Amino acid sequence: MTIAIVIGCILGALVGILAPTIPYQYSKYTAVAIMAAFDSVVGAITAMQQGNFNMKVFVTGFFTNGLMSIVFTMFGERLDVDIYLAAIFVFVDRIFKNISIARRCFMENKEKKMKE
Amino acid sequence: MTKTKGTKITIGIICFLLMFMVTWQIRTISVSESEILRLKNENELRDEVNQWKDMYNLAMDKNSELRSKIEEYQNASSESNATVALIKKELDEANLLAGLVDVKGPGIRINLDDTKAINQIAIEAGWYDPNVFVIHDSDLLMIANELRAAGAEAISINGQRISSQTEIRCVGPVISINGAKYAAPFVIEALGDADYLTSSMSLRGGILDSLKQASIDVTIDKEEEIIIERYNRALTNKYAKPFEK
Repeated sequence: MTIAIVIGCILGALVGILAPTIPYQYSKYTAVAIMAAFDSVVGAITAMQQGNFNMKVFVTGFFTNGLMSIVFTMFGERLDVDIYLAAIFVFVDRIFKNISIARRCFMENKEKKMKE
Repeated sequence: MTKTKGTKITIGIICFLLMFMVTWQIRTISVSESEILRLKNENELRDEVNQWKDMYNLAMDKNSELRSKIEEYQNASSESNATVALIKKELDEANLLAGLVDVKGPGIRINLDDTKAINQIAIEAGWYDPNVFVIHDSDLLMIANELRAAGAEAISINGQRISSQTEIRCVGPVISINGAKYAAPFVIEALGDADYLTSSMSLRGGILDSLKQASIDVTIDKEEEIIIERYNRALTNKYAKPFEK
């Protein structure tokens, strides 16, 4: 599991460095997609701590969140409304909530193990 | 949590995508930042240019306002007295000679433009020196000189009246005339006998002919009536004093 994560991260960084840069006006979309992806990952970690992690839910959430956030950002651009701000607000909000939940669960699990 | 091969691969792919997007974004931002700075700098410079232009226009407005005031005074005083009226007449003539009034009459209009299209290809191929194909300050000087010789009474280049204190000077890529800077195309207007001016300007081996040889676009138009604007700055004498024997 750890090996898969490390290899994935290193390969991703390498490809990211070698890939041609995108025009500045599109960087907003990538930024929103990154926040959506982070949200999914943090959500997955929380679910693992709670013990109800589901691979299918995680993978579908990862891609739909990313794509939908990009679509909404484009839609907002057309309507001249900064929807991406709302999207980022929601994602960051959920990331922090999930981190706190994961932290609590992690400590509870540790305590249970200690008692055992 | 199942630790099958499929799960590992999926996690790996997810990590790959996430890292890829993050590094990509960071690189894009770091590249774009310098561009944004450059754009900002350009915008600031443009603002400054606009500000100076506004100031220039303001000064020009004030200049013309003062000029009309002077005229008013002259008219007012000439009405009251016959001697003053005579002086006024002399002053008007002097102003006409000095190029301080707009003049109207028959004349010619010469259009000059840098070589385009075909020769551009030749220049890029390195066959010719590009300097040959552009209009220089010396060309304009020679044309003005030739027009004077042909009896032109008033000459202007791109609306700048050639007065006794006018310079025609090369300033880098542009030509400064009366302190204003111009690049091609140039429109030279000369007031005088249109037929005589035209024939003397289109002499074989003359300046316009040699410019045509260098593939510069030259056209001469005879005009029934052209208006040449006055010298738009003040003629000043700081050192010259009248001397009587």
